Amino acid sequence: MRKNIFETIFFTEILKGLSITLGHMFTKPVTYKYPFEATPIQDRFRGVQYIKTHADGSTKCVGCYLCQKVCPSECIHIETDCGPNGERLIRKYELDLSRCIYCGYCEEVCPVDAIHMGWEWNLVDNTRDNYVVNMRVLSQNYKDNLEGNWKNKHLKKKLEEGVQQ
Amino acid sequence: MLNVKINGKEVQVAPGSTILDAAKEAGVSIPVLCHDSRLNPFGACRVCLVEQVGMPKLMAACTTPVTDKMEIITESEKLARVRKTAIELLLINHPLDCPVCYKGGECGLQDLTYEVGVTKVRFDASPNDTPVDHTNPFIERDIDRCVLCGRCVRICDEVVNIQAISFLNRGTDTMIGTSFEQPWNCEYCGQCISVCPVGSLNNRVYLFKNRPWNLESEKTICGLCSCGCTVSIDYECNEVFRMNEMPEEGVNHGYMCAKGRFGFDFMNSVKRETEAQITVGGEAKKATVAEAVEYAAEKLKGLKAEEVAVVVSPRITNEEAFLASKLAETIGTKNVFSTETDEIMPEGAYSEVEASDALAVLNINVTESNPILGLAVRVAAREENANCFVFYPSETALKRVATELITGNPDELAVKMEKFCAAMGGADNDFSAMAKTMLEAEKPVVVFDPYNKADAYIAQEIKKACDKVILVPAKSKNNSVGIVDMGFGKNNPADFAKGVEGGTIKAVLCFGENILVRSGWSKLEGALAKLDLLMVTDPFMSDTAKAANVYVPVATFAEKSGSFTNLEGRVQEVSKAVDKGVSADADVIAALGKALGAELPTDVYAVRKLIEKEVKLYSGIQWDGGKVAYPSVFKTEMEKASATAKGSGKFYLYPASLRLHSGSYTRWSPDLAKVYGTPKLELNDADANEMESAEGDTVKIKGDGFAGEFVVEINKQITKGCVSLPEDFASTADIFSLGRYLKAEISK
Amino acid sequence: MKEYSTDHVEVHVCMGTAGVATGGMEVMEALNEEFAKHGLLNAESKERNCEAKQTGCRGLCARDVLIDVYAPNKGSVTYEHVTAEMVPTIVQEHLVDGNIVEKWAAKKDYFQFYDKQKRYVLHDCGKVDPESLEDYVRLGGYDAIKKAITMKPEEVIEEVKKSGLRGRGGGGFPTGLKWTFCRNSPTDDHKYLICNADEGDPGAFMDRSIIEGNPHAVIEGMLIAGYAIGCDEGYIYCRAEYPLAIERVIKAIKDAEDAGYLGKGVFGSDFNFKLKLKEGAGAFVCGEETALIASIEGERGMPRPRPPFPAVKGLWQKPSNVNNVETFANLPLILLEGSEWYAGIGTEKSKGTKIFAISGKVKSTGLVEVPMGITVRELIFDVGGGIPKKRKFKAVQLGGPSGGCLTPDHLETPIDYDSLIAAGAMMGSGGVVVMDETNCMVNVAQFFLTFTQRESCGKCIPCRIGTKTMLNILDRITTGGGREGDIELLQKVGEDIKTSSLCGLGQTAPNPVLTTIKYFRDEYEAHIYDKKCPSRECAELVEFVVINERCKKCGLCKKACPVDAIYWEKKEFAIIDQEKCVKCRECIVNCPFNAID
Repeated sequence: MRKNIFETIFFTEILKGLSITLGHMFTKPVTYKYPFEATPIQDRFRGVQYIKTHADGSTKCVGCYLCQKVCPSECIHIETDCGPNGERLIRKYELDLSRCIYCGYCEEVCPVDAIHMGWEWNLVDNTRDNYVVNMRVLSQNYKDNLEGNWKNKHLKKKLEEGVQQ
Repeated sequence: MLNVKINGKEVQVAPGSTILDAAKEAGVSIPVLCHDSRLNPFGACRVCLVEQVGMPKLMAACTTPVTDKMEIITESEKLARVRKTAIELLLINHPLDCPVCYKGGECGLQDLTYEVGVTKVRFDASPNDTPVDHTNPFIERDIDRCVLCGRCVRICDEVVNIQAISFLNRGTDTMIGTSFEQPWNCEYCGQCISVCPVGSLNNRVYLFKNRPWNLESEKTICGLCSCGCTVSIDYECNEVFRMNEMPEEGVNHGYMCAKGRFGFDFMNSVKRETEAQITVGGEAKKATVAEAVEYAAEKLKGLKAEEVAVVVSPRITNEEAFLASKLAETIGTKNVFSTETDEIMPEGAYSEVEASDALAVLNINVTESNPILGLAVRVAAREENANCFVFYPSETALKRVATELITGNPDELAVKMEKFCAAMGGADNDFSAMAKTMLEAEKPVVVFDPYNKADAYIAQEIKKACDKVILVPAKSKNNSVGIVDMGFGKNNPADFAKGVEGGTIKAVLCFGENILVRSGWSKLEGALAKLDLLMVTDPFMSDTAKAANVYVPVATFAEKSGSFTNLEGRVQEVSKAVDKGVSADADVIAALGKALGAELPTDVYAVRKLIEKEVKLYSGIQWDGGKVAYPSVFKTEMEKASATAKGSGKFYLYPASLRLHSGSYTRWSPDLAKVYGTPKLELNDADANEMESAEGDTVKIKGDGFAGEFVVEINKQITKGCVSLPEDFASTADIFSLGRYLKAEISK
Repeated sequence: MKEYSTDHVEVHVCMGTAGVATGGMEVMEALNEEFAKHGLLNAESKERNCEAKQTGCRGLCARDVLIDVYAPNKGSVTYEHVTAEMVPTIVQEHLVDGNIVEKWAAKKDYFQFYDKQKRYVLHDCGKVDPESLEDYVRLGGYDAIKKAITMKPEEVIEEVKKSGLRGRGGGGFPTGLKWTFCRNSPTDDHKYLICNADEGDPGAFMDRSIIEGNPHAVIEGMLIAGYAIGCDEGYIYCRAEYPLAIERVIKAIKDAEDAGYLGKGVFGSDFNFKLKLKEGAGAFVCGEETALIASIEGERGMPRPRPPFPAVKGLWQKPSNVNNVETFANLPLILLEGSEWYAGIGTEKSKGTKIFAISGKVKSTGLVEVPMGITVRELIFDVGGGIPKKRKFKAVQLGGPSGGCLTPDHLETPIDYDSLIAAGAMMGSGGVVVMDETNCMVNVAQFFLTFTQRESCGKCIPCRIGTKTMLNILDRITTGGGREGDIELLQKVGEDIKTSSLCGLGQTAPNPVLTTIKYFRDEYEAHIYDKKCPSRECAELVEFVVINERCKKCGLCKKACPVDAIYWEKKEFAIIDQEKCVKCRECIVNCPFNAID
């Protein structure tokens, strides 16, 4: 390609490049100043699970073991028993968040629409034991979710802003 | 043989086989719902319909016998359509609560729904919604899920012969229920649960505890009575969730009793000890097994060999019993004891009982004491139309099938049995016709109680009179036969009591036996306390274990490998399913042996090799189901024993067998104990009315040398003037130590 | 068959169930009283010696109590609708004075009912005293069995085969062939013969009338069959809802035993035959032979899978033969009159006569015996007298709840086993329900399905749940909830139920629905799409308004309304008060001009 003498003299190519840079200086940045700024969370983001409760506070979970069965990382452990009147009791429901890969299979398989993937993701804690959560915690997560009572301030903001598509 | 073509594949089957059998032979699977190979064909579900080439009508594969040159098509558009319609129709009223259903994961209807590919039901669903019935302590009944295949009704009628349940009403109102909606009056055998394809009849012990896909199974032999049933132990993470039947497998053909099906929970009991215990000067302290063994060995070293006695329980395996006998050899003592003796050995097998054409059941409530032997008797009496003569003080469950049921108080019964025995020998009396039937039968069988010397004598005389009679001594515990073979039946159990009381025995090594609840031994409590050493191994802190200096917790039958010899003399393998973190008896014995200077192997196969070498009966035995060939039933000529009731009083007292319990072991099962936890005095309603006592009242019983208070259970089957108490309770063992038949006074 | 003749005056009073229900007993008592009063009892003169005799059903039950007055050599005179009050007049005028009471005597239309009938099986019904063995014997009873035992059993079977007799219970299986199967079936001790008298179809009462009218004929038939097959024990399985039939059978068995006709060594031969009566407990399904056998054994009345067929393993696992009452009643005829005579009646493949119970919208409802091959038209219009109220014939249901509907197009169909099946109906046990234009065919299908659904034993899935499901769909169609695709769904499910059910009940239960869909699909469509019932029978789909163009202001609807919901003045159109109307349909039924819709 033949070089244009004009271009060589006036550095037009450099100027072109600078104009792009300049242009970007005035556009909105695409990065977020985490942790000083909230990152957007997509609606279908799969965060820490919550388990829905009935109006009276009892869990919707029936203890069918399907989530335990389907879980690829084997992070769910359930124990059930029969109550004194022949009713089904959930003796133990444990979810090891440190093992969980947040695949969402548990949500998909649940026949009674009890377990759901939440938006919470900030899980930093001091001991590994604290990552094992039980039914009480998971139900509390649901309550928090309903009330918008998020541990995570970014989520709080997200809820204020409304869902970002 | 008939030639049949199934889907173009030619197979040869025996005449009388059904299309389903032929398809099985051809490797073709036909879906079934109401069919069970152990039951008579029913043909209700219409899922197994197949087409015959050249025939317009569809036929049910499970009921139609094959004919020669039949050509069957099992898959076609028409068949798929009618199968799908049938399943769709079932799903209209079936509540789709699979996630919480007991059967979810192993449900016949679920499987069929997948198989025929029902994804959408064309009809409006109207699921049933009636309350679940919890009136039966072991069986939960949810009639909503019922598909009316009738398997429970048929098994209860055709196999168990109790007929507790039946079809009620008709049309869409048809349901399974009891007559007049009464509570279930049954043996709690749970056979109905085992055949229910859906979650309509549920095992309450396993109910909601786990789901089937989590469970692993181990095929083993039930260790709760001498029947030797092949069962599967379903477990997860060292916890036993259920003891399940294995359909058609084993000598039991997949049937089980209440003990096996509902009584396994003692294995998971929190009451089980995990640590050994050494008691010095009345003060118990926890110890490791090694410490306990060392303590015991030290004590033993300070004693003369003949001052030591080894007692084993009929609950332990052949291998363990053999090791125990080796231990006794190491110590050098001949004081080896058990509750069993080698006077009577097995003869008949279940198959011989089932094929028998004349049976005599002598003074044993066989359906309660040995339920699976009871089923074999029922099969013979019902299907083979065998003549069945039952002698027992009260009416038994065999009444329905018995040709004649001879009852009476124990004294009368003894006279009647003697007369029968005499008639077998040729005497002319009331029982001559009965004896003639037995004598003329091709395969006569006599079932008797080997622990009752008077009965054993009669059985011996019958055998003498008629050699073709096959005797079936109904031993009680899972390895009652095996420990005797391993050398623990040589001595008379009474000698043990004498030795302990007389002070000639100063140390007792007791492996698994609960000495203090055995009649004959139960009064040794004071004497045992005076021993230098009483070492007890037991899964639980039993009455005897409490009195021990050294206690070592050991494994139950689900936690160890080995073999049991059942009442037929059949050796069957026991496999380890779970580990509860306690050692087996074999380990304890070997450790003790080692401390005393003998190398004893603990590996099952190594022990078996030794057994095959040293125990003549077991040389070359097939450990997985081989039958031991005993030279004769009776080791020596039995002497005539008196069967007359001892003492004086208005009532006859005799020991009753309990279907829910076998010895003291099963009482640790919370579910069985809930239904039958304390001994109950069974009383005829007329006698109860006379005494003005009702069910649940406490009455006093008093006889020569004993007295006690028991709760009354009114049982119309008990003969008037008789009462019965269960054996093997601490409070009743004392009474029956005095004799088998006693006379007593009863007052409020 | 001997023509009935008497040597004195006999007054036959119908004492079948219908006769008793309409006052036969009272008539009987009144007759005896009057005879005594007039000195006619045991009078010396033949013409004056009168006897009142109870007999079985004559067929035209709609006109009970019927009495026939037989005088020696004079034939008979029949009176209809007789009550006890009429008796003194009849006795005074007819028997004392010798003048027939014309106003009460049966007219032409009564005899028209019998014109096209051929009463062979029912010949003695209405003439013989069902509770008297002597009377039966006097008319030639038990001659057939006497003849049979002189023959070899195989010859008897051959005779029956030659006659072409087919099972009258519905299936139409050749009787002789059925016997051969059972006869050739090996057994170590017993073979059983069972008479199926568990007649459960709505509107059918053939078996009841035969047993009530002539029980000995059935017993004789059973003796012949028992001898031919080699049975030594027989059961009559009669439903408990027939108390009179049961009473008469028990008496007949006892009389026959006392006379030595039943029991050991029948008529001096070495043939033994014991007969027992077993009462059913009111289950339609027990008419199915395997369910019937289960019921006799004391089990729950549920059909068993076949094979093994009862001829191989039936009652108590022994070879058994089950035949219908009517089949047995045919046997003495065949033996006495000969198989050629019998084979001369009827069509090529269906021989003899068949008894039908005609009910529904015909003038003469009752029991008729017609030769095979008569057309549907003849049966309904000639024998049955046609449709009342000048309405149009719409359909006829043949074979009860298991059968199917035939339309006016099928009126020329000959009535025999094969033609009916070809036309989509079946012979069944012989129930004939005639429907006119006011009958809604969806409703008819719903009625029959309600019956079969309720009578399903509950054993197999297609019948238990399938019929209920079909009924649910019909229910929603008739109440205005019909959906598109319901007709096809009904057809598909119906076909599946037919092909997959265990026993005959389920295999035929969808027939009424399927045939009505086939011939009256437009009615179903009207119900589903227009939410209208063309015959105005489905009350939910009728608006109950008077159509003024058709109303002739007659006021009949006002008279008929039981709740006074209709306002009508002379020369005014009627108006229906929707608030008060309870949709009982009385006005529709009574309006002669179809003016209410």
